[in-house]
Amino acid sequence: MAKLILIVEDDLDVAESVADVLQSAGYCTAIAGNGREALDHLQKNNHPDLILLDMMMPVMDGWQFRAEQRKLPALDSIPVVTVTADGDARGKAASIQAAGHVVKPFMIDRLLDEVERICGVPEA
Amino acid sequence: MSSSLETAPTAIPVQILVVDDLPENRMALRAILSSRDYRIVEASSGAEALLRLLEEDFAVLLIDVAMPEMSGFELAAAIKERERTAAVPILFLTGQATDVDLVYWGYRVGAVDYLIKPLVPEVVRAKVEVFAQLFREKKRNEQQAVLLLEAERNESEFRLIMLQLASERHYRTLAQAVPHIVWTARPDGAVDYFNQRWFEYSGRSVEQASGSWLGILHADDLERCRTEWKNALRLGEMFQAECRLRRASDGAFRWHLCRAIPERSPSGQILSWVGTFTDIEDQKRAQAIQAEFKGTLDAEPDAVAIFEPTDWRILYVNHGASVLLGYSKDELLRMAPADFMAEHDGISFREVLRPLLDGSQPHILLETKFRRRDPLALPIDVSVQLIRIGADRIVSIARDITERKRTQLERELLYREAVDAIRARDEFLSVASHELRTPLSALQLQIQMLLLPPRRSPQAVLSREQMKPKLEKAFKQIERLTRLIDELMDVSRITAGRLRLELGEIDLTAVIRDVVGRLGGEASRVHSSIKVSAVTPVVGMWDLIRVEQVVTNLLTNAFKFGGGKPIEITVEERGSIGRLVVVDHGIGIAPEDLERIFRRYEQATSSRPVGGLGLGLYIARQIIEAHGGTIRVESQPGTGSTFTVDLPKGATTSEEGAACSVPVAAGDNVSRADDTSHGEAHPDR
Repeated sequence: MAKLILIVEDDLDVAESVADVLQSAGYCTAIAGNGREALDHLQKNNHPDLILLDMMMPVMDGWQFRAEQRKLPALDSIPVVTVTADGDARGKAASIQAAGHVVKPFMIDRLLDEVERICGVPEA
Repeated sequence: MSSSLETAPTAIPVQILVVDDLPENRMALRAILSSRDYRIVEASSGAEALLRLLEEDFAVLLIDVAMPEMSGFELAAAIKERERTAAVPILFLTGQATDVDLVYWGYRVGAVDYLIKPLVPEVVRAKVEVFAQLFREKKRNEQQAVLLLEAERNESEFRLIMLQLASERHYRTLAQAVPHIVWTARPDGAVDYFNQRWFEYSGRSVEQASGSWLGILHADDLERCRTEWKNALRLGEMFQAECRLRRASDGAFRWHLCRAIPERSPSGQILSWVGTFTDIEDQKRAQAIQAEFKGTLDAEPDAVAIFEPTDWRILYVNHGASVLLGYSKDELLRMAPADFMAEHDGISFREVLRPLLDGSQPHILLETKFRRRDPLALPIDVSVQLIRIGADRIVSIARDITERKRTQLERELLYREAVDAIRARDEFLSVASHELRTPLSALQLQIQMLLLPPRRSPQAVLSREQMKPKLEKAFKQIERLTRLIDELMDVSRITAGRLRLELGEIDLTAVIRDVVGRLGGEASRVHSSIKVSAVTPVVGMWDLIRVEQVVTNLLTNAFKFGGGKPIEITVEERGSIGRLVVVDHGIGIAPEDLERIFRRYEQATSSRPVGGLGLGLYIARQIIEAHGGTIRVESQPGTGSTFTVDLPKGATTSEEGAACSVPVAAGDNVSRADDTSHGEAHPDR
């Protein structure tokens, strides 16, 4: 059973491109447009093995989502990789106790490395 | 100087009046009385006798009793009645010898004696001589009285002269004693006396002074004083003038006050002039210094006031104080400080300044308010000091700081505006940066996927079919980027006032159909259907590209916020206006955001961008208003929004390609926008 990655990103083109890359690498993907949609998705679906979390989103941003996620023990255990575009990616990741971080614009190698590091290779 | 004058008895002539109507009687009497030094005057009637009596004094009157017309008695009665003649002795001549009644009657009338006819010469002579003697005595006494009177007059005149001499001496001693220059002059103004001081001061001798004090006057004062002195002499009025007199010892000119008053006789005639010169040089100098001091203070724009420390009486105010407070200097001198202190009454005022008076602080600086006359309250900076020069004085210098405060306020406002503007711009930049990076991210991924083989199959080579979608996606991102950059450029241009319109004959209906056709793909992606009601052409002078930009923006918004519900577009003609209406039934706009959405750097829904820079509506409004049109929105949250655009058909700008000028906000860092117009190819805008 392939590993599932939830992509939380408000820009559809970016989300789809990231999904493309991950799928080429063998992962399964799901997309949520913002924090609220992500929470809804997690309630209704299987939990993913990793959440790629864009921090700047409308309606509910990355920080707000993370706060909600940590309130629910069932969700709290899912590792989060932050996606940021402007400065201090490490600091921002640390501030919400994320498992890892990537920066935009993406380098595919870097992205895949980080994902593999945290949730392992695509096949269990 | 009295002398008694002895005159011989015979020297005084004795007049005798004989009154008888018969000439032989008169002759007879004349003969009887001729031997002595009598002068005989005859009268033939009572009437004539009266006339004679008017002419001279008689020693005795010899009156015949029996006369026709007026009897002797009647004449005597008449004579007695006249005061002048009442005392003259009367001798009646009568032939009636011893009529006693007659005698008594005669005495009663006033006769002194009778002479009985026939007359006895010795008797007549004897009786007449008595009266003649009396007459002579009387005359002598009269003479002596006159002489006595004269002598008395001489005596008092003499005494007066002595007095005068004495007082003049006294006067002159006084004149010498006073420190002033004293002079006297005759009524014509010629000086007849100078006191010693004059000679000491002027160094002139009596001859040199030559009857005038004008000789030592300063040239500049000479004309004036001479004229005024002449006037005073003429009018007999007090003379007063200030002039400079030359001091002999060092040639210096010193200011003197000259005063002269006329001395008048009891009848008002001017007898002489008395004048003084008083040295006022020091006084004048002190006055000059004081005037200079006051002039300096008056030139000082700040308000200067000097107070009496014990009771805060205002002793001096300068012109600046008068201007500041709106009262005249005189009024201020009668006021108390509490009258114009807006924030203090008498008590708190003293409290504040107590450290000054008890010596614990030499100087107090205070920011407070003064109340003007009008009665505006002025913000004031005032410095108060205690000064000891002889007497203690409080000196205050106050400055109106209204300007300063206003400038301060303005500066604060400007600063806040600038800070706000900078913050807004910084936010915008961070949003813009994020927005620009987003398509770049997608682009980067697509290109990398084209360049790199997948990890799992490193040998794999992408087929043309596999490459195409990636290339298309890549291309799309480039388009997105370009649009974003164009938006930024537009905003920059608009801000710099360099948005230029290229007007042409445009059919609005056609434009709508064009744009709708182009965006059809996106519409279906968000599941919105578009209904267009645009039947007839609506033609006007508009900028095609810009109008397309507006329409695209409105439609894109409708997709974004339309919630998938249908969108209705209407194009119609309203007189000289072309109207476009875009209706969506999506999430709507809150009332407080209705204006905000048209502003720069603002988005209605949240502070985070919803794809795009949030500038679309701002730019749309600028473009529409540059055409002379309007755009407005009506909306209900949850129900949807209606955007209405009105574009005047005629060219409302005076020339083709008019500039749209928008005021530059403070703090806006406008980089030099390149004015390359939209001639660049945008294949799918």
